[in-house]
Amino acid sequence: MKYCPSVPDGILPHNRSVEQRRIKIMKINADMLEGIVVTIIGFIILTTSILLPENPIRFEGWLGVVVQAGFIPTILSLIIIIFGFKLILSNRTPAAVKRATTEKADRGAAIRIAAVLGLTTIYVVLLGIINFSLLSLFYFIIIISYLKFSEKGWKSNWVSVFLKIVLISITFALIVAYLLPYMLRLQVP
Amino acid sequence: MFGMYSELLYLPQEILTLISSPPLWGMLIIGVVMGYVIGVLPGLGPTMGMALMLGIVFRVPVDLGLALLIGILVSSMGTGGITASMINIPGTAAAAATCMDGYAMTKKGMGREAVGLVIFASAIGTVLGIILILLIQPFIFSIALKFGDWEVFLFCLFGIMICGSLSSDQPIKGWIAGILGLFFAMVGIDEVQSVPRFTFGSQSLLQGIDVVAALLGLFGVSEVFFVLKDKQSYAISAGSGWPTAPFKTIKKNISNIIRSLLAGMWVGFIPGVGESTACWFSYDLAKRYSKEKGMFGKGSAEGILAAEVADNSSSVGALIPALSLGIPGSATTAIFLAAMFLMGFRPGPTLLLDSPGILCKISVLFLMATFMTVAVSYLLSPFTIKFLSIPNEYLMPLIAGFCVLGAWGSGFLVFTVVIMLIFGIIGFVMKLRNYPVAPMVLGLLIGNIMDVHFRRAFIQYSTEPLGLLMRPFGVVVIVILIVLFILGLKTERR
Repeated sequence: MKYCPSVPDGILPHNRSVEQRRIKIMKINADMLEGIVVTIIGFIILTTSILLPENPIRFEGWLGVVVQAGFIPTILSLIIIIFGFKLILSNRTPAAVKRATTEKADRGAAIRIAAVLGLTTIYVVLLGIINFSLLSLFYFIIIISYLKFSEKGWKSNWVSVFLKIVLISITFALIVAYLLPYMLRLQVP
Repeated sequence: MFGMYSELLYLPQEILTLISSPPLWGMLIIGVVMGYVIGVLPGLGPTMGMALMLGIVFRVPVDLGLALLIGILVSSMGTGGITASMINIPGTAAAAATCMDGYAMTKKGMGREAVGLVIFASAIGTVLGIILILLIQPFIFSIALKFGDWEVFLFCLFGIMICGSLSSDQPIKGWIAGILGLFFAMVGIDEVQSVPRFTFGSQSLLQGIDVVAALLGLFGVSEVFFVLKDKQSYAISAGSGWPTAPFKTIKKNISNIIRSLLAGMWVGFIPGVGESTACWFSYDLAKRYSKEKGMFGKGSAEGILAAEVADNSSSVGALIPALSLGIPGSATTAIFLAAMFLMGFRPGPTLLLDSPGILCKISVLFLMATFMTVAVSYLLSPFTIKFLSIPNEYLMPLIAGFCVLGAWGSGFLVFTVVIMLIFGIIGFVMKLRNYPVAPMVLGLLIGNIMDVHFRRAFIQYSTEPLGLLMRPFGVVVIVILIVLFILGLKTERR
């Protein structure tokens, strides 16, 4: 297997546009970064496993090592580290370069996900602080409005669209905060 | 011989008890209709549907909880192929192979037949699978009873290895996901010597990571993020009318049906692999043995039957390791297993001794759910197009709300909901980077089992450790593990 320290012209076809080659190299670097992250996770698990307290009941010799609470996690962490290195090295092979796509990341998708994640995080963090039914109502109104208004074609009838969203959000909030908890005798936060 | 089938003595009693219970029928209808909606809507799936109900099932009587879950499972597995046939997008991952011929058949103007074959194949796969399980269960449980700690540990390891190998085109990613799941399972108080592991001083983490919250995050919230990442893009064509399943077609495909049933059961039996592999495996087999290979991909009834029978029989086959060893055969069975633990059952070799009649109860519920699914699918499939028109921007926030409520219901702590969100982010990132989620779920469920059995095995064999490595089943599994590892590495290189 040939490993390439960089991505020489011999691997990427000459007829690819400069932009496509740039995206491909970025993708390869992203895959390598993934390998680095996995390796770091492995080292973190290894460190925390080694630092675990010893068992209260001790055994003599090798058995004392094997039955420790930290033994299996230590072995698992070593395996993750090895796999992490394998990911880093394998992303330099011709097969990995071929596998890397030349699609550009969708900025719109990234913003949409960040917004949904942020709103859901705020929803979770405010649980128990704000009344659950009100919180759920605001969550549904805001998130559905964001998703709906990020599409095209709403400007001409935004009032009716917004009223529809409010009505749907009230229905959803009633289901999540009242109907289901009532049916299941569940205490809401 | 008769003694081995003593579990079947409970069958008449369970049939009478279950079919004469109106609340049970009501709960089954709710489960089947929910499962139908989940199955036909792309982006949802039986794992998400069942995970959403986890926070609910242990609050209702056991029979009703089982009926709800089994209704969702059977119905969603059986209806993913309907959407696959109508709009060329599988309603569930397990229906992906049905797209090949189902949609092609619809384009030829035979949409009713495509949907009818899907409904029939799903029903027959489940019914025959259940009958097969009832016949072979004594052998399975008697083998499982012979399993010692070492064998259970090796079987768990085998499950993680093969799940990782088969659930991703890069086995290393599958194995990494599985190992991380094993690690997450070990957070909390160690079961052998009560040592706190990876709690970082947090009182909340002493109890470990709530499995319900983690599953809701990995399957529910992560899917919400993943679906909302893209704007809804599939075009919806007209509905198909009342489904039909020509008897002549079915008669011509009896050997195909039996082969697909066995292929599905076999793949389902392997821990962690799941229905999405079973449908392709069976489709491939059907194509190899077909006398009309050229028709595959162009509207072949053989292809639809092979994919759907295997898809449904694999979810039944996955019950075998789940009930006999406590090791789930698929992600959906993992949720089912989690629910059984919550309801007070102890899946494993002693399940039939601790809870006699439970296998018959589950089997009867599966059969009832199947017949109900056929009826509901037949009645609702002409109107399925309306379900498919529900925009994701309405549906996904509602699912997120259900996930929050479900996570809250499992622990009544905001911390549990935070765990759900964290696993939602983990699951989303995994999906973006093509890491399969199923091995992580398997790891989460069997991590503690693996650790406990490993350490107990060595304590038992402390005076002659080599005796442990020489146990016959252990030798076979170790050889298989080495072969799997080498094959997995070879796949990476290609």
